[in-house]
Amino acid sequence: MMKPHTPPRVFYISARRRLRLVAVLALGLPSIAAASLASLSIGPAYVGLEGVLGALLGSPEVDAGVRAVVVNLRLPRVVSAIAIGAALSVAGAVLQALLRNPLVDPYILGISSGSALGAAATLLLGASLLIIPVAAFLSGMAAFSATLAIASLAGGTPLGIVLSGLAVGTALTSALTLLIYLSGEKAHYIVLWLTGSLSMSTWDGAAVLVAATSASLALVLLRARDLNASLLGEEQAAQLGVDVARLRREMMVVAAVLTSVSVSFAGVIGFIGLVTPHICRMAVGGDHRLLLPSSALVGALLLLLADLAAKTACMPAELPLGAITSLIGAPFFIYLLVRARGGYAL
Amino acid sequence: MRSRRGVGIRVAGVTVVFGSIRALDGVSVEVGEGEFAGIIGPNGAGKTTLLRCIYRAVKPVAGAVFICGRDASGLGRRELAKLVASAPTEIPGEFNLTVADVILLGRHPHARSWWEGPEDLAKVADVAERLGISHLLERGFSTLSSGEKRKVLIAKALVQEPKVLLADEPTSNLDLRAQVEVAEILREAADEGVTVIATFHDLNIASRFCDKLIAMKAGRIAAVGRPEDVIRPEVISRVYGVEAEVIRCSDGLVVVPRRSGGRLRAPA
Repeated sequence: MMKPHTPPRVFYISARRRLRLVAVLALGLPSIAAASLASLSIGPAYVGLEGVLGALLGSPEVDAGVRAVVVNLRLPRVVSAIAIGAALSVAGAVLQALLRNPLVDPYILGISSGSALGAAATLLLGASLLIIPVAAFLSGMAAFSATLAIASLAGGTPLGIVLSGLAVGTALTSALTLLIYLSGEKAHYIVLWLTGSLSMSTWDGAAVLVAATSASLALVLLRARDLNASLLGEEQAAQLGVDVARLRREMMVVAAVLTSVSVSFAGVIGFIGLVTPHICRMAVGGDHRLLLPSSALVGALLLLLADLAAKTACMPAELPLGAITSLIGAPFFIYLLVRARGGYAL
Repeated sequence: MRSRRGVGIRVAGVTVVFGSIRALDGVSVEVGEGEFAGIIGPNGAGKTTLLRCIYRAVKPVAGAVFICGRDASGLGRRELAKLVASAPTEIPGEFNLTVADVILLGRHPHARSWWEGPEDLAKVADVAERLGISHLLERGFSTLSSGEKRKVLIAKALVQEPKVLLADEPTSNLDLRAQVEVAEILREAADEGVTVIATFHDLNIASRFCDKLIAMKAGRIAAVGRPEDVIRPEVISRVYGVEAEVIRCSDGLVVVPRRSGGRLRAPA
């Protein structure tokens, strides 16, 4: 047989995938920048694009009041939206791979509700801002462990995990609702946690969010190949040299960290972690080296747009952000559930 | 343990217990380097458990497995993954993995960088070409036929460049042509020096392609040897409880089971 002179197809496949990653970044980053500028200019007081850019670049011609609105109120909100959209979407992608279950995300698994309850309880006890994410992490992790334990007792089927997560999530959300009645004047804060909102965003929160999200993203990217291997099943992953138990521990903790910082500063924002990885898988395929960065970018963009909708739909009143993401996410979840009938051995 | 030349796998007195069941009961067997061994026996005899024991997915309560003369329990995860590869019958779920993605995963233990290098790609291209699946590389894995899937999973194991290749029921649920194709792929790997161990339900395919057969029953080895020594009416009767005629033809053996007239189903 003649030896082909051109390199085999798999070289093109690999090169094309690398290009696809570049394309995702080239499309994603400008879109995020554009959505951010829109979010910075739109609000109860409209600031034109010139004003926004002037305030960001520190131009002396911009009014001090306008600068305060853009830089101190709206910019932390935009930065938080980007970090939280990325965090929840990456957490969703990691959880879907880890549990080999396309129907899960931090919200479905009850992690978000656990974090929200922990955060709210700590706030009622009068703890400082820095204790809240820690409490949110611990209670989120506890809720996650409870979900997995119940699912395992129920036979460990993919649908069992979903039902167990919904049960844990519902119970914890009810506890949070009861807490609102006991909380007196702090009630309006806790309501924001229940429905999700970025209106409380501060620079302190944004800084914690950006730090936690970028550190977690770096760690999951390092583990992207291991996550790919784990798609073949735990036994095959172990057979390929992956330390499966360690990967599972690490990824569980990372998913809980990403969820709990998000919940600490913006409350429960459901379904974004479910929808984003699926959209990205359709565009770039299942390889986590492409899927995780794409999920971060697309998640950031989606949450920026959802927040823009929350801010503007009934101006000057704000709609709850979590309700908007759920309104879009729930039908998508139903679609997956129906499509999964035969495919995922439920 | 001193390395003994020519022995690919040595299983020495391995016992595996699941709860109250002894899945393997003091199993000892050797497979030579570059030999193609088939494990046969009824469901639940311990065939798959023996394979899983070799790639360390189950831990024996007694005994040891030696891979190319080295005690498997003392090997690091990656070291073991470079020596032993396993091709499963199926893989779970659907996560938009392409055939190229799945085969490339076999390079995981050899990975030196985050992105696959030219060496990895050349290996994948070579194996895909040899197995006749180059045209499938960009297809979604879940869209393949069973025969194609089986070949892709074996390709994944081959790009791992193992010394020992394990395949669980590689030919089951395949049409005749795909059975022969898959068995020939394993045969060729053995001829190139890889020690191949696979489980089989089809005795004709197993005896046609294997150098050695290992017949198992109830966690023990019932017979070991060349196919013509193992595929005998008395062994088949002892292992499967089925009376059968073995016909020798110019190109191998044929097992023809006798009708039992319902006696096999009758309570003992």
